[in-house]
Amino acid sequence: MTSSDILLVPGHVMARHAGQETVLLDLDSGVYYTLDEIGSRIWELAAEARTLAEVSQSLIDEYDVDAATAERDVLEFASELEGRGLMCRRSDVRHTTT
Amino acid sequence: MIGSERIGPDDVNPRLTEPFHVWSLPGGGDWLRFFRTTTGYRLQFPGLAEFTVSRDGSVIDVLGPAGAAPETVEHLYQNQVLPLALSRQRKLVFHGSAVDMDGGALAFLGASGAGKSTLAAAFALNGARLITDDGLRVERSGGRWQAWPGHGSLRLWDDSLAALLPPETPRSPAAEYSAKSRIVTGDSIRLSAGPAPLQRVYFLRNYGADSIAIQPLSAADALIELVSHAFMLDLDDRELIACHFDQLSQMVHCLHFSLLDFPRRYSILREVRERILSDWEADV
Repeated sequence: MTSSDILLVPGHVMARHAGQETVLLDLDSGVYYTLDEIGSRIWELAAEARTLAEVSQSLIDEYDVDAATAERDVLEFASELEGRGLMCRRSDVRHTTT
Repeated sequence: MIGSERIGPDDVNPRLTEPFHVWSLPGGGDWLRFFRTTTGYRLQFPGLAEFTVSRDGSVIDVLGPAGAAPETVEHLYQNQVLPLALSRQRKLVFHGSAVDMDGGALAFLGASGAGKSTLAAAFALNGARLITDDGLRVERSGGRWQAWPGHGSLRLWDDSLAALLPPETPRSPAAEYSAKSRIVTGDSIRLSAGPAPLQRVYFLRNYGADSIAIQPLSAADALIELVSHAFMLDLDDRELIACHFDQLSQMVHCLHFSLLDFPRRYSILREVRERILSDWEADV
C-alpha cells in the first residue's frame, strides 16, 4: 500500500452513516463493522476515489495532526480495510477484470 | 377462455437435505431447523410442527399434523413463522415487546428470558396498552416508524404472573413447549387499537446489575443491536440483508436507543417502570 494508491469499495460491501460513525456490512461474510469518527472520514474520502496522499492531506487540513502521523495512520487503516476485504486497490480491480 | 390449473400429487414433499440454518435451544437440541425447498422454505420445529413459507413470504402452510396442540401451532405461527415470513416481504420484525403510551410506543428488545413480556405487562397493567409481547413489527409510514399491534395475548412465567396479576386472572391454553401461561388481552390488559409511533427502544441486558441502569446508545451501536434482534429468513439472501440493513440504518436516525439493565427482582419492577417513564418523558 502506498500513498499513490486509490481504493474502491467492492460490490459486496455496504456502508451507512450512523451519527458520527459508519457501519459497514460485508455481504459475503455477513459481518458488520463500525468505523469511528476518524475512520469514517478516511472511508468517506477514500470512497471518493482520491489517492491516499490526498486523503492524508484532507486529514491534515481538518484535524490537529501532523503530516507524518496522518500519512502513517491512513496507510495503516487502508491496509486493514484491504486485509478485511472492505476496500480494494483500483489496480487490483483492473487486474481482476481484464 | 384459457385457464390453467396446477395438478399433481399433493402428499409428496421434497426430500429434505441438511438444514441450512438451525436455531438451538439454550439447553441443547434444535429448536428450529431451516430448509430450502424448490418453492421457498420449510421450517421444522422438531416434534412440534412444520411449516412451509413461499420464497416471497406471502404464503404459509402448516404441513400435516405433527402432534402439537392447535394452541401450540397457532403460537409458533404467530411468534416465529409469521415474523420470519414477513422478513421475506422486506418487513421489519424484531424479537421484542412494545407498549402504547397513549400515542407513543416504547419497545423492549432482547433475547428469550430477558424480561420483554414482564416489562410489557408491567406497563400494560398501569395504563399503557399492549402492542405485542414478542414479534414486534415496525413499519415506516408518514415519516414515522410505527409499531403494529400483535395478536392480543401475553405469555408470562408463573412467577411473573403471580407477581403482576391477581390469581383469578383467566388464563388461556399455553403452547405445550413452554411453561409460560398465556393471558388474553381484555379488561386487565388492553391491546392497542392500532399502530403507534415508536419513540424509544430499549435493548434488555441481564448482566447481574445491582441497580437500574439506562445507557444511551450511539446510532452505530443501535444499528448493530437492531440487526441482531431482527427476524430474518435466509441469511444467505444478500438482497434481503441489504434491504434490511438499509431500513435499519434509516431507523437509527429517527429514534432513541438505550441499553437497559436492572436487577431481576419483582419488587423493583415498579421502580424500573418509573425510571423508564422518566427517561421517555425527557424527550416527549
